Amino acid sequence: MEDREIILEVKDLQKDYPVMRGLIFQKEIGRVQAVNRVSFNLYRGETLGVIGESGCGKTTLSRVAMGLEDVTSGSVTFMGHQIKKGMDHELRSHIQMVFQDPYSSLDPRMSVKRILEEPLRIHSKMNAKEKRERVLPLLEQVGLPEEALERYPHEFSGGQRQRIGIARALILEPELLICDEPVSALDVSVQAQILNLLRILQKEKKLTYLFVSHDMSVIRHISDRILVMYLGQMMELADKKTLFSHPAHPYTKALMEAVPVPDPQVKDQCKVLAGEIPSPIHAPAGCPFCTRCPQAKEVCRREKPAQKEIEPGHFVACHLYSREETP
Amino acid sequence: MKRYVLMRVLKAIFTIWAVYTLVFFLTRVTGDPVDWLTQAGASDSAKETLRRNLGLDLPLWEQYVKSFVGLFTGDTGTSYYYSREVSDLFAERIWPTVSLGSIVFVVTIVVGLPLGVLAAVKHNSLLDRLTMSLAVIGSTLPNFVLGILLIFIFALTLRVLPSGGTGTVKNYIMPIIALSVGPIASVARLTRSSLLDVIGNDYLDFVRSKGMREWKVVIKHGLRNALIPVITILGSQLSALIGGSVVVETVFAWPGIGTLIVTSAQQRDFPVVVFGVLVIAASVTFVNLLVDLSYGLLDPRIRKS
Amino acid sequence: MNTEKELERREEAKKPVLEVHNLKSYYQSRDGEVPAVDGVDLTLYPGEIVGIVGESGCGKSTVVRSLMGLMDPVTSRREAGTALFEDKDLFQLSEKELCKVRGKGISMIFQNPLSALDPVYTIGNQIVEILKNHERITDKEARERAIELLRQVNIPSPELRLNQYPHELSGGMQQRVVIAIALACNPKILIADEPTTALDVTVQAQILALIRELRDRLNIAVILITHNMGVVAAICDRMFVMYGGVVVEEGRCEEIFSKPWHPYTRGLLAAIPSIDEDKETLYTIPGQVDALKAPVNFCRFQKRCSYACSKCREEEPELSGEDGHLSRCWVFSGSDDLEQAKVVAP
Repeated sequence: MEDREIILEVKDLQKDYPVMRGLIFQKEIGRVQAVNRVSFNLYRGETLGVIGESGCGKTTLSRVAMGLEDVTSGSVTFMGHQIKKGMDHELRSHIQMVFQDPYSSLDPRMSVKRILEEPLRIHSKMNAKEKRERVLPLLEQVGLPEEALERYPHEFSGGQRQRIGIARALILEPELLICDEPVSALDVSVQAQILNLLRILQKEKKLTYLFVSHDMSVIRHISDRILVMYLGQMMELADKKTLFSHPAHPYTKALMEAVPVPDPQVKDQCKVLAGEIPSPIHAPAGCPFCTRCPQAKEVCRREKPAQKEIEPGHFVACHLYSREETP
Repeated sequence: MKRYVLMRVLKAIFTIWAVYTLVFFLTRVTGDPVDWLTQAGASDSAKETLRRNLGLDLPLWEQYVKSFVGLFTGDTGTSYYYSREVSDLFAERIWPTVSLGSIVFVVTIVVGLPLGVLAAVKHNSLLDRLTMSLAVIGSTLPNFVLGILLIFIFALTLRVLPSGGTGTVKNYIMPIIALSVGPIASVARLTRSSLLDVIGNDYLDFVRSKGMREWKVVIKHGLRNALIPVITILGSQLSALIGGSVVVETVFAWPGIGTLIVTSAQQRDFPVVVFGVLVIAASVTFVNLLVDLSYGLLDPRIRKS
Repeated sequence: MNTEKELERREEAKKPVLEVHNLKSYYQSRDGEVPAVDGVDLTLYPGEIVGIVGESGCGKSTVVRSLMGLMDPVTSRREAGTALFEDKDLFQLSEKELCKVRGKGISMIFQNPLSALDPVYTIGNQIVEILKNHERITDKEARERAIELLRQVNIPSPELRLNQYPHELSGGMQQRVVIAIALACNPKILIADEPTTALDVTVQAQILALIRELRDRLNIAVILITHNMGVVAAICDRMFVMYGGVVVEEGRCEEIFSKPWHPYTRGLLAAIPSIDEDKETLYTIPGQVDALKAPVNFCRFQKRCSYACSKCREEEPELSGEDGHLSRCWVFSGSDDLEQAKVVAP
């Protein structure tokens, strides 16, 4: 794995948001750590799945990686270039995003043609014919007919709109595609179509995906490696096989056991994890998961566990592994 | 929350002061009241005496300070025209205005809210379309035009109601109609649209599924939530009512502070005009303050933050 | 789940708690009437959890909203149907009579717990409201019952919660409050419309466990609407698969998951990415849901079905099958049909 080309490097990424109080004279009363000390590499051609529940920081992570927000500390580097707000056009065109809601992410007053040509207009000096030559084959690749060009978003179903969204993201021929819950708003059968499409496109265009989702089965299907997050922190990072065959972090295990499986023969479905996700404003001082962890010890409440590579490529942040102990 | 209230009150006081100051200086630009108060051929010395008596010979800033300080010591100045204490003049005129205003306000709520609720509950029905068409006409018709129209029909043509003055119940009818049609229309329209928004919400279905009767669902849960934006419009309607009564009172020769302010303005009776505007500004600001604070009471989500 | 226990329960309560027959609910649209629900039969026994699954627009929510009388009378109308509950037809009841059934006989919980609770009243207020609506009870008694109810749905420090507003609770807690309200007057039936869709996975597991626990303890019958096959498999005893306003397959969950008959059910199951096995490409159902117009005289799935024959285009199949496992399909309505067509279960 080490000899593969790193396309995106995230190092000690931290993103805070201020918590404001007051109506006229706003005063900062604290900070929420949306993403806290997250580091990982994204290799060319792979899909890194980011999974977690609400408030885990996965959306913030994707926004920062996209350059929509600046980091508080740490760095995000795309092929040697710093990602930040206001980075140059050329760099930006290499990273594109597919959004969750195919209903609100497309401008309802623009025809599909305009939606798809807009990025070209901004980033290149193509003439009408060149633009058309770029748009048409892409449209076919995402499975839309040529007639679609003259129509408007509301004339399409959710799945078709997501296809338009994907085409828009790919029009500038990016290398990295950030997918923020791209199938969460879709029905199962449509979801399958979109997931298949993303796979095919990845192969054809040698794309790298950062795929954010809350759905374990979707993440498992699409990813090569998986990053598990909880309350802004990285819990575990491993390749898919390792993670599913022997998850190391108690949270990863709990998350997997909580997912209902479409098979009534499976006994003891939806193992219940007690407690609720704490609000990020009141995150625990130690390990963020210590309030619900069945294996929590004294040290978990006091100290944040450091990230440890327990086997090549398998990182865990848990005190169970930090002191030569085996669970 | 306490801090919030305090800030709002301070802001309100500042607004009133600013309006007061502005009007004080603006009135002085309109001309010399001495010209108005003396007869055409009066001698310069007579004018000078009058000016000194009225305190108009002092530099402008001194007049301002004197009048401003007077507000706190209970000296509201003397009317040039009536030669009486301004506060006394207002004291005897305030009742007709307040009584008319409160009746109009109550009528607005009692008629406007139910109309809006009915239109929302039976939305797209004939009743809904009829009410809303009337409401559009009602809210676009200026109240003084409506007043003159009413006088023309009921006082001059049909001769069933007195065209002006005060004293009997009959005197109240036309001013109330003229003043309340606009606010009723606005309140009805806003109640309808706001309630329609609320009716689409899950919580009304949940309350229905609890077995509550439909009218209870609409009133207790629908209207309570729909009221939050309606209160805003009620507040601004009340402000407009206070301002609008000035004109309508004149139309109906209603002996309230509205007529007093209008005639005084014509007569360049500065102390009366300035004090009148002060009273109006204070009432409007007070109403807005009440509206802002009532949000917190109606919506617990605002109360906490 | 718990086959023996469930059978036992059925033995003692053979009498269904709810019998819906030929329910038809039509929406008014610009180009005519849309058969949102077009002839649904549903029988519910005490103590069982029945799942209604399907994708958006299949009519699953319309079924339960019609039962509760929550359809908008301006844009929709009930074309036909009876719903027997406690020897009365729900559809023939006056508003007053229906209000006595709602909340007391049949309760309902919703997808998004925050929007199901009225934001301007406290939790306590909203629980007391349903109690006082159906029972003669003093304020003090109602408060005590409210605390008891919150405790029953595992809400910590219920005394404090009573005075809180909905937005002050987490999503999971809000859904517990909604369930507590729904159960306040000991209803016979609980209708849950996508009760966990808006919640996180670990919280979803908690809520599902709670529903199961309450069923076991109170012997309440549950109708669970969901689009998530995993949720059905996890807690339902029987299931109905809906497509285009009709039930296309129904039966016990074990049977349908192991031997789905209808091509739509099979497609739906195959399209779900699996959590414990890797597939390169997911199965997809070709095409998309068609807009239908009443009356329908063909199989609603035929355009997307790879087994469709001329009969499927000319006549709508009836639900048929054996032993409570039924399928609305000309080609597949029995286990033998699968073997004959050499279809492997997904």
